[in-house]
Amino acid sequence: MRLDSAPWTLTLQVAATGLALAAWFLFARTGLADKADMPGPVETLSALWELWKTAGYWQAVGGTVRAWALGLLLSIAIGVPVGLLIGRSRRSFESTRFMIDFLRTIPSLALVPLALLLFGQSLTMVIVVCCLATVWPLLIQSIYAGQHADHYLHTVARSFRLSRWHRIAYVLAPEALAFIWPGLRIAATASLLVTIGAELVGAVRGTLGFNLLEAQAFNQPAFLFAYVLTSCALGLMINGGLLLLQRRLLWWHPAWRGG
Amino acid sequence: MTARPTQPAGQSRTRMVGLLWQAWLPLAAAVAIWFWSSGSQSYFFPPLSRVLEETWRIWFAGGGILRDIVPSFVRLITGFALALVLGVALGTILGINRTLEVAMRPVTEALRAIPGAALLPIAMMFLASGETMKLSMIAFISTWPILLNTIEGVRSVDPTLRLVMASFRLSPWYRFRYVFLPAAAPQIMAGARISFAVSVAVMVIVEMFGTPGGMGYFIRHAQQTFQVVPMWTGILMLGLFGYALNVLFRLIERRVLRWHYAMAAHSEGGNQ
Repeated sequence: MRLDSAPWTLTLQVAATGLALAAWFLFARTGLADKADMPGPVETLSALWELWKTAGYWQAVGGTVRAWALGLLLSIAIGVPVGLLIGRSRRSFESTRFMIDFLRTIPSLALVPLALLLFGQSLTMVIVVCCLATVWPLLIQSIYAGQHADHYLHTVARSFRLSRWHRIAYVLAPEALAFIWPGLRIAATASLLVTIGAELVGAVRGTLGFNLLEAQAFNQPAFLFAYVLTSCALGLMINGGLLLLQRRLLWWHPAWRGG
Repeated sequence: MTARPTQPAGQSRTRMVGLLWQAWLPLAAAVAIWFWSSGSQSYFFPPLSRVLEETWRIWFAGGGILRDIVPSFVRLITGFALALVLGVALGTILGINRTLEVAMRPVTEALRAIPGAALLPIAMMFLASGETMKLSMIAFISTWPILLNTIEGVRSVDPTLRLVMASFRLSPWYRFRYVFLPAAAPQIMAGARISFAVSVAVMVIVEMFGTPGGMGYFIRHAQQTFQVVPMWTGILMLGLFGYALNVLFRLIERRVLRWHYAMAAHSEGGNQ
Protein backbone atom coordinates (compact mmCIF):
# COMPACT_ATOMS: atom_id res chain seq x y z
CA MET A 1 0.00 0.00 0.00
CA ARG A 2 2.76 2.38 1.00
CA LEU A 3 4.81 0.98 -1.85
CA ASP A 4 2.63 2.52 -4.48
CA SER A 5 2.57 6.02 -3.04
CA ALA A 6 4.24 8.51 -5.32
CA PRO A 7 6.54 10.27 -2.80
CA TRP A 8 7.90 6.94 -1.58
CA THR A 9 8.62 5.79 -5.14
CA LEU A 10 10.32 9.07 -5.91
CA THR A 11 12.51 8.86 -2.78
CA LEU A 12 13.56 5.36 -3.71
CA GLN A 13 14.36 6.31 -7.26
CA VAL A 14 16.34 9.40 -6.28
CA ALA A 15 18.27 7.33 -3.73
CA ALA A 16 19.08 4.60 -6.26
CA THR A 17 20.15 7.12 -8.89
CA GLY A 18 22.31 8.84 -6.28
CA LEU A 19 23.90 5.53 -5.38
CA ALA A 20 24.61 4.76 -9.02
CA LEU A 21 26.22 8.19 -9.50
CA ALA A 22 28.27 7.69 -6.33
CA ALA A 23 29.43 4.30 -7.62
CA TRP A 24 30.47 5.95 -10.89
CA PHE A 25 32.24 8.72 -8.94
CA LEU A 26 34.17 6.22 -6.83
CA PHE A 27 34.91 3.91 -9.73
CA ALA A 28 36.46 6.77 -11.69
CA ARG A 29 38.95 7.24 -8.81
CA THR A 30 40.12 3.64 -8.68
CA GLY A 31 43.27 2.44 -10.41
CA LEU A 32 41.29 0.41 -12.91
CA ALA A 33 39.59 3.46 -14.35
CA ASP A 34 42.60 5.73 -14.05
CA LYS A 35 44.53 3.68 -16.57
CA ALA A 36 42.00 4.55 -19.23
CA ASP A 37 41.42 8.07 -17.88
CA MET A 38 37.78 7.54 -17.08
CA PRO A 39 36.05 10.80 -16.19
CA GLY A 40 33.72 10.93 -13.19
CA PRO A 41 30.22 12.40 -13.24
CA VAL A 42 31.49 15.88 -12.31
CA GLU A 43 34.03 16.03 -15.13
CA THR A 44 31.48 14.66 -17.58
CA LEU A 45 28.84 17.21 -16.65
CA SER A 46 31.27 20.11 -16.84
CA ALA A 47 32.43 18.84 -20.25
CA LEU A 48 28.79 18.72 -21.31
CA TRP A 49 28.34 22.30 -20.09
CA GLU A 50 31.39 23.33 -22.16
CA LEU A 51 29.98 21.60 -25.20
CA TRP A 52 26.58 23.24 -24.84
CA LYS A 53 28.22 26.54 -25.59
CA THR A 54 29.67 25.35 -28.88
CA ALA A 55 27.93 25.30 -32.24
CA GLY A 56 29.56 22.00 -33.18
CA TYR A 57 27.66 20.18 -30.46
CA TRP A 58 24.23 21.40 -31.52
CA GLN A 59 25.07 20.82 -35.16
CA ALA A 60 25.95 17.21 -34.34
CA VAL A 61 22.76 16.72 -32.33
CA GLY A 62 20.76 18.29 -35.16
CA GLY A 63 22.42 16.10 -37.79
CA THR A 64 21.78 12.89 -35.89
CA VAL A 65 18.19 13.78 -35.04
CA ARG A 66 17.51 14.76 -38.64
CA ALA A 67 18.94 11.52 -40.02
CA TRP A 68 17.00 9.53 -37.43
CA ALA A 69 13.71 11.31 -38.12
CA LEU A 70 14.01 11.26 -41.90
CA GLY A 71 15.05 7.61 -41.92
CA LEU A 72 12.10 6.71 -39.74
CA LEU A 73 9.63 8.81 -41.75
CA LEU A 74 10.87 7.30 -44.98
CA SER A 75 10.44 3.79 -43.66
CA ILE A 76 6.93 4.63 -42.42
CA ALA A 77 6.09 6.08 -45.83
CA ILE A 78 7.33 2.90 -47.52
CA GLY A 79 6.61 0.20 -44.96
CA VAL A 80 3.04 1.04 -43.99
CA PRO A 81 1.34 1.31 -47.39
CA VAL A 82 3.30 -1.57 -48.89
CA GLY A 83 2.63 -3.72 -45.83
CA LEU A 84 -1.11 -2.97 -45.86
CA LEU A 85 -1.30 -3.82 -49.56
CA ILE A 86 0.60 -7.08 -49.11
CA GLY A 87 -1.56 -8.01 -46.15
CA ARG A 88 -4.80 -7.47 -48.05
CA SER A 89 -4.27 -10.44 -50.32
CA ARG A 90 -3.22 -13.94 -49.45
CA ARG A 91 -1.41 -14.38 -52.75
CA SER A 92 0.76 -11.32 -52.34
CA PHE A 93 1.52 -12.31 -48.75
CA GLU A 94 2.71 -15.76 -49.77
CA SER A 95 4.68 -14.43 -52.71
CA THR A 96 6.64 -11.93 -50.67
CA ARG A 97 7.01 -14.01 -47.52
CA PHE A 98 10.37 -15.55 -48.26
CA MET A 99 11.80 -12.36 -49.77
CA ILE A 100 10.90 -10.31 -46.71
CA ASP A 101 12.13 -13.01 -44.37
CA PHE A 102 15.46 -13.12 -46.15
CA LEU A 103 16.03 -9.41 -46.66
CA ARG A 104 15.16 -8.42 -43.12
CA THR A 105 17.81 -10.69 -41.64
CA ILE A 106 20.65 -8.90 -43.44
CA PRO A 107 22.20 -6.72 -40.74
CA SER A 108 21.76 -3.22 -42.16
CA LEU A 109 25.06 -1.97 -40.76
CA ALA A 110 26.75 -4.44 -43.12
CA LEU A 111 25.35 -2.33 -45.96
CA VAL A 112 27.12 0.81 -44.73
CA PRO A 113 30.21 0.11 -46.89
CA LEU A 114 28.01 -0.27 -49.97
CA ALA A 115 26.03 2.84 -49.09
CA LEU A 116 29.31 4.69 -48.57
CA LEU A 117 30.43 3.82 -52.09
CA LEU A 118 27.09 4.94 -53.53
CA PHE A 119 26.33 8.06 -51.48
CA GLY A 120 29.66 9.05 -49.95
CA GLN A 121 30.11 10.26 -46.38
CA SER A 122 26.81 12.09 -46.24
CA LEU A 123 23.62 12.25 -44.23
CA THR A 124 21.87 10.65 -47.21
CA MET A 125 23.97 7.56 -46.63
CA VAL A 126 22.93 7.48 -42.96
CA ILE A 127 19.26 7.99 -43.84
CA VAL A 128 19.30 5.18 -46.39
CA VAL A 129 20.94 2.74 -43.96
CA CYS A 130 18.60 3.78 -41.17
CA CYS A 131 15.60 3.24 -43.44
CA LEU A 132 16.89 -0.18 -44.52
CA ALA A 133 16.98 -1.21 -40.86
CA THR A 134 13.66 0.21 -39.73
CA VAL A 135 11.43 -0.57 -42.66
CA TRP A 136 11.14 -4.27 -41.73
CA PRO A 137 9.37 -4.16 -38.37
CA LEU A 138 6.97 -1.56 -39.80
CA LEU A 139 6.37 -3.59 -42.94
CA ILE A 140 5.70 -6.78 -41.02
CA GLN A 141 3.33 -5.19 -38.52
CA SER A 142 1.52 -3.45 -41.39
CA ILE A 143 1.09 -6.80 -43.10
CA TYR A 144 -0.58 -8.07 -39.91
CA ALA A 145 -2.75 -4.97 -39.87
CA GLY A 146 -3.81 -5.63 -43.44
CA GLN A 147 -4.53 -9.28 -42.73
CA HIS A 148 -6.49 -8.80 -39.56
CA ALA A 149 -8.66 -5.92 -40.64
CA ASP A 150 -11.85 -6.88 -38.84
CA HIS A 151 -14.63 -7.59 -41.27
CA TYR A 152 -17.46 -6.97 -38.81
CA LEU A 153 -16.10 -3.62 -37.82
CA HIS A 154 -16.42 -2.49 -41.43
CA THR A 155 -19.88 -3.88 -41.77
CA VAL A 156 -20.91 -2.01 -38.65
CA ALA A 157 -19.30 1.16 -39.96
CA ARG A 158 -21.19 0.77 -43.21
CA SER A 159 -24.51 0.07 -41.55
CA PHE A 160 -24.08 3.23 -39.51
CA ARG A 161 -23.55 4.92 -42.87
CA LEU A 162 -20.35 6.58 -41.76
CA SER A 163 -18.87 8.79 -44.42
CA ARG A 164 -15.67 7.65 -46.06
CA TRP A 165 -13.62 10.15 -44.04
CA HIS A 166 -15.19 9.08 -40.75
CA ARG A 167 -14.68 5.45 -41.64
CA ILE A 168 -10.99 6.10 -42.18
CA ALA A 169 -10.54 8.34 -39.16
CA TYR A 170 -12.55 6.40 -36.60
CA VAL A 171 -12.43 2.79 -37.78
CA LEU A 172 -9.63 1.99 -40.20
CA ALA A 173 -6.85 4.19 -38.89
CA PRO A 174 -7.13 3.37 -35.17
CA GLU A 175 -7.39 -0.32 -35.93
CA ALA A 176 -4.35 -0.32 -38.20
CA LEU A 177 -2.42 1.86 -35.77
CA ALA A 178 -2.86 -0.65 -32.95
CA PHE A 179 -1.21 -3.29 -35.12
CA ILE A 180 1.52 -1.05 -36.48
CA TRP A 181 2.41 0.48 -33.11
CA PRO A 182 4.70 -2.30 -31.80
CA GLY A 183 6.59 -2.19 -35.10
CA LEU A 184 6.97 1.56 -34.79
CA ARG A 185 8.31 1.23 -31.26
CA ILE A 186 10.94 -1.30 -32.31
CA ALA A 187 11.79 0.78 -35.38
CA ALA A 188 12.20 4.03 -33.45
CA THR A 189 14.66 2.56 -30.94
CA ALA A 190 16.55 0.45 -33.45
CA SER A 191 16.92 3.36 -35.84
CA LEU A 192 18.83 5.45 -33.30
CA LEU A 193 21.32 2.61 -32.82
CA VAL A 194 21.70 2.13 -36.56
CA THR A 195 21.90 5.88 -37.24
CA ILE A 196 24.75 6.38 -34.80
CA GLY A 197 26.38 3.14 -35.96
CA ALA A 198 26.29 4.28 -39.59
CA GLU A 199 27.67 7.68 -38.58
CA LEU A 200 30.55 5.97 -36.79
CA VAL A 201 31.41 3.60 -39.62
CA GLY A 202 31.03 6.27 -42.28
CA ALA A 203 32.68 9.03 -40.19
CA VAL A 204 29.98 11.43 -41.39
CA ARG A 205 30.79 15.01 -40.40
CA GLY A 206 28.33 17.03 -38.33
CA THR A 207 26.85 14.07 -36.45
CA LEU A 208 27.12 12.61 -32.97
CA GLY A 209 28.89 9.56 -34.40
CA PHE A 210 31.65 11.71 -35.88
CA ASN A 211 32.11 13.73 -32.70
CA LEU A 212 32.31 10.53 -30.67
CA LEU A 213 35.07 9.27 -32.95
CA GLU A 214 36.86 12.58 -32.74
CA ALA A 215 36.72 12.67 -28.93
CA GLN A 216 38.19 9.19 -28.88
CA ALA A 217 40.89 9.98 -31.44
CA PHE A 218 42.00 13.14 -29.59
CA ASN A 219 41.82 11.28 -26.29
CA GLN A 220 39.24 13.56 -24.67
CA PRO A 221 37.39 11.08 -22.46
CA ALA A 222 35.28 13.73 -20.74
CA PHE A 223 33.87 14.89 -24.09
CA LEU A 224 33.41 11.28 -25.12
CA PHE A 225 31.30 10.59 -22.03
CA ALA A 226 29.40 13.83 -22.53
CA TYR A 227 28.45 12.73 -26.05
CA VAL A 228 27.38 9.30 -24.83
CA LEU A 229 25.25 11.03 -22.19
CA THR A 230 23.75 13.13 -24.97
CA SER A 231 22.86 10.11 -27.05
CA CYS A 232 21.40 8.47 -23.94
CA ALA A 233 19.23 11.57 -23.45
CA LEU A 234 18.09 11.30 -27.08
CA GLY A 235 17.17 7.67 -26.47
CA LEU A 236 15.23 8.60 -23.32
CA MET A 237 13.37 11.37 -25.15
CA ILE A 238 12.40 9.02 -27.95
CA ASN A 239 11.12 6.42 -25.47
CA GLY A 240 9.27 9.08 -23.50
CA GLY A 241 7.77 10.62 -26.61
CA LEU A 242 6.55 7.24 -27.82
CA LEU A 243 4.94 6.54 -24.44
CA LEU A 244 3.15 9.91 -24.53
CA LEU A 245 1.94 9.28 -28.07
CA GLN A 246 0.81 5.81 -27.09
CA ARG A 247 -1.28 7.23 -24.26
CA ARG A 248 -2.87 9.80 -26.54
CA LEU A 249 -3.48 7.54 -29.52
CA LEU A 250 -4.06 4.09 -28.11
CA TRP A 251 -5.73 4.75 -24.76
CA TRP A 252 -8.74 2.75 -25.95
CA HIS A 253 -6.80 -0.42 -26.69
CA PRO A 254 -7.29 -3.24 -24.12
CA ALA A 255 -3.59 -4.09 -24.04
CA TRP A 256 -2.56 -0.59 -23.00
CA ARG A 257 -5.62 0.62 -21.19
CA GLY A 258 -4.16 -0.19 -17.79
CA GLY A 259 -0.90 1.66 -18.28
CA MET B 1 12.87 -37.16 -35.79
CA THR B 2 9.38 -38.33 -35.03
CA ALA B 3 7.52 -40.16 -37.72
CA ARG B 4 4.82 -38.06 -39.28
CA PRO B 5 1.52 -39.61 -40.11
CA THR B 6 1.09 -39.83 -43.86
CA GLN B 7 -0.92 -36.94 -45.18
CA PRO B 8 -3.77 -37.16 -47.58
CA ALA B 9 -2.81 -36.25 -51.14
CA GLY B 10 -4.85 -33.04 -51.15
CA GLN B 11 -2.99 -31.59 -48.20
CA SER B 12 0.44 -32.21 -49.64
CA ARG B 13 -0.69 -30.64 -52.88
CA THR B 14 -1.82 -27.45 -51.15
CA ARG B 15 1.53 -27.40 -49.40
CA MET B 16 3.30 -27.67 -52.78
CA VAL B 17 1.19 -24.84 -54.16
CA GLY B 18 2.03 -22.73 -51.09
CA LEU B 19 5.71 -23.38 -51.63
CA LEU B 20 5.46 -22.39 -55.27
CA TRP B 21 3.76 -19.14 -54.30
CA GLN B 22 6.60 -18.40 -51.90
CA ALA B 23 9.30 -19.31 -54.39
CA TRP B 24 8.32 -17.53 -57.60
CA LEU B 25 9.16 -13.97 -56.60
CA PRO B 26 12.66 -14.66 -55.20
CA LEU B 27 13.43 -16.78 -58.25
CA ALA B 28 12.12 -14.14 -60.63
CA ALA B 29 14.13 -11.48 -58.79
CA ALA B 30 17.29 -13.60 -58.99
CA VAL B 31 16.81 -14.19 -62.72
CA ALA B 32 16.06 -10.50 -63.32
CA ILE B 33 19.19 -9.43 -61.43
CA TRP B 34 21.24 -12.03 -63.29
CA PHE B 35 20.24 -10.71 -66.72
CA TRP B 36 20.11 -7.06 -65.77
CA SER B 37 23.62 -7.16 -64.32
CA SER B 38 25.16 -9.55 -66.85
CA GLY B 39 26.37 -6.80 -69.15
CA SER B 40 26.91 -4.33 -66.34
CA GLN B 41 29.91 -2.06 -66.71
CA SER B 42 29.07 -0.27 -63.47
CA TYR B 43 31.83 -0.28 -60.95
CA PHE B 44 29.42 -0.56 -58.03
CA PHE B 45 27.11 -3.22 -59.44
CA PRO B 46 29.20 -6.03 -60.92
CA PRO B 47 27.53 -8.89 -62.82
CA LEU B 48 25.88 -11.44 -60.52
CA SER B 49 27.80 -14.25 -62.23
CA ARG B 50 31.09 -12.70 -61.15
CA VAL B 51 29.86 -12.20 -57.59
CA LEU B 52 28.83 -15.85 -57.41
CA GLU B 53 32.15 -17.02 -58.86
CA GLU B 54 34.08 -14.93 -56.37
CA THR B 55 31.83 -16.11 -53.54
CA TRP B 56 32.78 -19.66 -54.35
CA ARG B 57 36.45 -18.78 -54.66
CA ILE B 58 36.74 -16.69 -51.46
CA TRP B 59 34.32 -18.31 -49.05
CA PHE B 60 34.13 -21.96 -50.05
CA ALA B 61 37.27 -22.95 -51.96
CA GLY B 62 39.45 -20.33 -50.25
CA GLY B 63 38.44 -21.29 -46.72
CA GLY B 64 36.73 -17.98 -45.91
CA ILE B 65 34.08 -19.83 -43.96
CA LEU B 66 36.64 -21.13 -41.46
CA ARG B 67 38.61 -17.92 -41.42
CA ASP B 68 35.80 -15.39 -40.95
CA ILE B 69 32.36 -16.92 -40.54
CA VAL B 70 33.15 -19.43 -37.79
CA PRO B 71 34.90 -16.83 -35.57
CA SER B 72 31.97 -14.45 -36.13
CA PHE B 73 29.53 -17.16 -35.18
CA VAL B 74 31.41 -18.14 -32.01
CA ARG B 75 31.69 -14.47 -31.01
CA LEU B 76 28.01 -13.87 -31.59
CA ILE B 77 26.87 -16.95 -29.68
CA THR B 78 29.23 -16.29 -26.75
CA GLY B 79 28.16 -12.66 -26.47
CA PHE B 80 24.49 -13.53 -26.77
CA ALA B 81 24.79 -16.34 -24.20
CA LEU B 82 26.39 -13.91 -21.74
CA ALA B 83 23.55 -11.47 -22.36
CA LEU B 84 20.98 -14.22 -21.84
CA VAL B 85 22.47 -15.32 -18.51
CA LEU B 86 22.91 -11.74 -17.28
CA GLY B 87 19.49 -10.61 -18.48
CA VAL B 88 17.60 -13.55 -17.01
CA ALA B 89 19.49 -13.47 -13.69
CA LEU B 90 19.12 -9.73 -13.11
CA GLY B 91 15.62 -9.72 -14.55
CA THR B 92 14.49 -12.44 -12.15
CA ILE B 93 15.92 -10.58 -9.16
CA LEU B 94 14.23 -7.35 -10.22
CA GLY B 95 11.04 -9.14 -11.16
CA ILE B 96 10.70 -10.79 -7.73
CA ASN B 97 11.71 -7.74 -5.75
CA ARG B 98 9.27 -5.02 -6.68
CA THR B 99 10.78 -2.34 -4.43
CA LEU B 100 14.21 -2.87 -5.92
CA GLU B 101 12.79 -2.78 -9.42
CA VAL B 102 10.95 0.51 -8.81
CA ALA B 103 14.04 2.03 -7.24
CA MET B 104 16.34 0.95 -10.06
CA ARG B 105 13.98 1.98 -12.84
CA PRO B 106 15.66 5.34 -13.65
CA VAL B 107 19.02 3.60 -13.89
CA THR B 108 17.82 0.72 -16.05
CA GLU B 109 15.79 3.05 -18.27
CA ALA B 110 18.82 5.30 -18.80
CA LEU B 111 21.23 2.46 -19.53
CA ARG B 112 18.76 0.87 -21.89
CA ALA B 113 18.20 4.13 -23.74
CA ILE B 114 21.86 4.48 -24.72
CA PRO B 115 22.06 3.64 -28.42
CA GLY B 116 24.59 0.80 -28.26
CA ALA B 117 26.80 2.02 -31.08
CA ALA B 118 27.63 5.17 -29.09
CA LEU B 119 29.36 3.00 -26.49
CA LEU B 120 31.84 1.70 -29.04
CA PRO B 121 34.46 4.46 -28.58
CA ILE B 122 34.27 4.05 -24.80
CA ALA B 123 34.61 0.30 -25.05
CA MET B 124 37.61 0.75 -27.32
CA MET B 125 39.17 3.20 -24.89
CA PHE B 126 38.90 0.78 -21.96
CA LEU B 127 39.29 -2.59 -23.57
CA ALA B 128 41.27 -1.81 -26.74
CA SER B 129 39.91 -3.43 -29.89
CA GLY B 130 40.41 -7.13 -29.19
CA GLU B 131 38.09 -9.97 -28.34
CA THR B 132 37.21 -8.72 -24.82
CA MET B 133 35.88 -5.46 -26.26
CA LYS B 134 33.83 -7.26 -28.93
CA LEU B 135 32.28 -9.71 -26.49
CA SER B 136 31.48 -7.14 -23.82
CA MET B 137 29.84 -4.84 -26.38
CA ILE B 138 27.62 -7.62 -27.73
CA ALA B 139 26.75 -8.84 -24.24
CA PHE B 140 26.07 -5.43 -22.70
CA ILE B 141 23.87 -4.10 -25.47
CA SER B 142 21.83 -7.27 -25.95
CA THR B 143 21.16 -7.71 -22.23
CA TRP B 144 18.46 -5.01 -22.05
CA PRO B 145 15.59 -6.47 -24.09
CA ILE B 146 16.01 -9.79 -22.26
CA LEU B 147 16.22 -8.09 -18.88
CA LEU B 148 13.06 -6.03 -19.36
CA ASN B 149 11.07 -8.96 -20.69
CA THR B 150 12.25 -11.21 -17.86
CA ILE B 151 11.02 -8.64 -15.32
CA GLU B 152 7.61 -8.60 -17.01
CA GLY B 153 7.48 -12.37 -17.24
CA VAL B 154 8.50 -13.03 -13.65
CA ARG B 155 6.06 -10.43 -12.39
CA SER B 156 3.20 -12.13 -14.21
CA VAL B 157 3.57 -15.28 -12.09
CA ASP B 158 0.25 -16.15 -10.51
CA PRO B 159 0.16 -14.78 -6.92
CA THR B 160 -1.40 -18.04 -5.74
CA LEU B 161 1.65 -19.86 -7.06
CA ARG B 162 3.86 -17.63 -4.93
CA LEU B 163 1.84 -18.55 -1.86
CA VAL B 164 2.10 -22.22 -2.76
CA MET B 165 5.88 -21.92 -3.12
CA ALA B 166 6.13 -20.17 0.20
CA SER B 167 4.06 -22.78 2.01
CA PHE B 168 6.09 -25.59 0.48
CA ARG B 169 9.26 -23.72 1.51
CA LEU B 170 10.85 -24.28 -1.87
CA SER B 171 14.50 -23.30 -2.04
CA PRO B 172 15.29 -20.21 -4.15
CA TRP B 173 16.86 -22.39 -6.85
CA TYR B 174 13.74 -24.58 -7.09
CA ARG B 175 11.52 -21.52 -7.26
CA PHE B 176 13.62 -20.16 -10.09
CA ARG B 177 14.04 -23.42 -11.96
CA TYR B 178 10.52 -24.81 -11.74
CA VAL B 179 8.27 -21.78 -11.37
CA PHE B 180 9.73 -18.44 -12.41
CA LEU B 181 11.80 -19.60 -15.36
CA PRO B 182 9.04 -21.62 -17.06
CA ALA B 183 6.44 -18.95 -16.34
CA ALA B 184 8.62 -16.23 -17.80
CA ALA B 185 9.95 -18.35 -20.69
CA PRO B 186 7.56 -17.11 -23.42
CA GLN B 187 8.30 -13.48 -22.48
CA ILE B 188 12.03 -14.17 -22.20
CA MET B 189 11.96 -15.74 -25.67
CA ALA B 190 10.24 -12.68 -27.10
CA GLY B 191 12.97 -10.53 -25.58
CA ALA B 192 15.67 -12.92 -26.74
CA ARG B 193 14.42 -12.64 -30.31
CA ILE B 194 14.86 -8.85 -30.28
CA SER B 195 18.20 -9.23 -28.48
CA PHE B 196 19.45 -11.67 -31.05
CA ALA B 197 18.86 -9.27 -33.91
CA VAL B 198 20.61 -6.56 -31.86
CA SER B 199 23.52 -8.93 -31.21
CA VAL B 200 24.02 -9.48 -34.93
CA ALA B 201 24.02 -5.73 -35.59
CA VAL B 202 26.49 -5.09 -32.77
CA MET B 203 28.68 -7.97 -33.92
CA VAL B 204 28.93 -6.41 -37.38
CA ILE B 205 29.85 -2.97 -36.08
CA VAL B 206 32.43 -4.12 -33.49
CA GLU B 207 34.07 -6.28 -36.12
CA MET B 208 34.22 -3.31 -38.46
CA PHE B 209 36.20 -1.37 -35.85
CA GLY B 210 37.99 -4.16 -34.04
CA THR B 211 41.04 -6.25 -34.75
CA PRO B 212 41.09 -8.18 -38.06
CA GLY B 213 38.87 -11.23 -38.38
CA GLY B 214 35.16 -11.76 -38.84
CA MET B 215 32.66 -10.87 -41.51
CA GLY B 216 32.23 -7.24 -40.47
CA TYR B 217 35.97 -6.70 -40.81
CA PHE B 218 36.00 -8.44 -44.19
CA ILE B 219 33.27 -6.25 -45.67
CA ARG B 220 34.68 -2.99 -44.35
CA HIS B 221 38.21 -3.87 -45.40
CA ALA B 222 37.03 -4.82 -48.90
CA GLN B 223 35.23 -1.48 -49.22
CA GLN B 224 38.17 0.55 -47.95
CA THR B 225 40.49 -1.09 -50.46
CA PHE B 226 37.83 -0.67 -53.20
CA GLN B 227 37.49 -4.41 -53.84
CA VAL B 228 33.85 -4.12 -54.82
CA VAL B 229 33.25 -7.73 -55.88
CA PRO B 230 34.65 -9.23 -52.64
CA MET B 231 32.55 -6.68 -50.72
CA TRP B 232 29.40 -7.96 -52.47
CA THR B 233 30.36 -11.55 -51.67
CA GLY B 234 30.73 -10.55 -48.01
CA ILE B 235 27.28 -8.94 -47.99
CA LEU B 236 25.80 -12.01 -49.68
CA MET B 237 27.38 -14.37 -47.16
CA LEU B 238 26.31 -12.19 -44.25
CA GLY B 239 22.75 -12.27 -45.59
CA LEU B 240 22.83 -16.07 -45.78
CA PHE B 241 24.42 -16.16 -42.32
CA GLY B 242 21.66 -13.96 -40.90
CA TYR B 243 18.94 -16.06 -42.49
CA ALA B 244 20.45 -19.33 -41.26
CA LEU B 245 20.69 -17.92 -37.73
CA ASN B 246 17.06 -16.87 -37.88
CA VAL B 247 15.99 -20.36 -38.87
CA LEU B 248 18.14 -21.84 -36.10
CA PHE B 249 16.63 -19.45 -33.56
CA ARG B 250 13.11 -20.39 -34.61
CA LEU B 251 13.89 -24.10 -34.22
CA ILE B 252 15.30 -23.60 -30.74
CA GLU B 253 12.37 -21.38 -29.78
CA ARG B 254 9.89 -24.02 -30.90
CA ARG B 255 11.75 -26.70 -28.95
CA VAL B 256 12.05 -24.63 -25.76
CA LEU B 257 8.45 -23.44 -25.80
CA ARG B 258 6.88 -26.67 -27.02
CA TRP B 259 5.05 -27.18 -23.73
CA HIS B 260 3.80 -23.60 -23.90
CA TYR B 261 2.29 -24.01 -27.35
CA ALA B 262 0.77 -27.30 -26.24
CA MET B 263 -0.75 -25.60 -23.19
CA ALA B 264 -2.08 -22.72 -25.23
CA ALA B 265 -3.57 -25.10 -27.78
CA HIS B 266 -5.04 -27.17 -24.96
CA SER B 267 -6.64 -24.25 -23.17
CA GLU B 268 -8.06 -23.01 -26.44
CA GLY B 269 -9.66 -26.40 -27.00
CA GLY B 270 -7.53 -27.49 -29.93
CA ASN B 271 -5.63 -30.76 -30.07
CA GLN B 272 -2.35 -29.18 -31.06
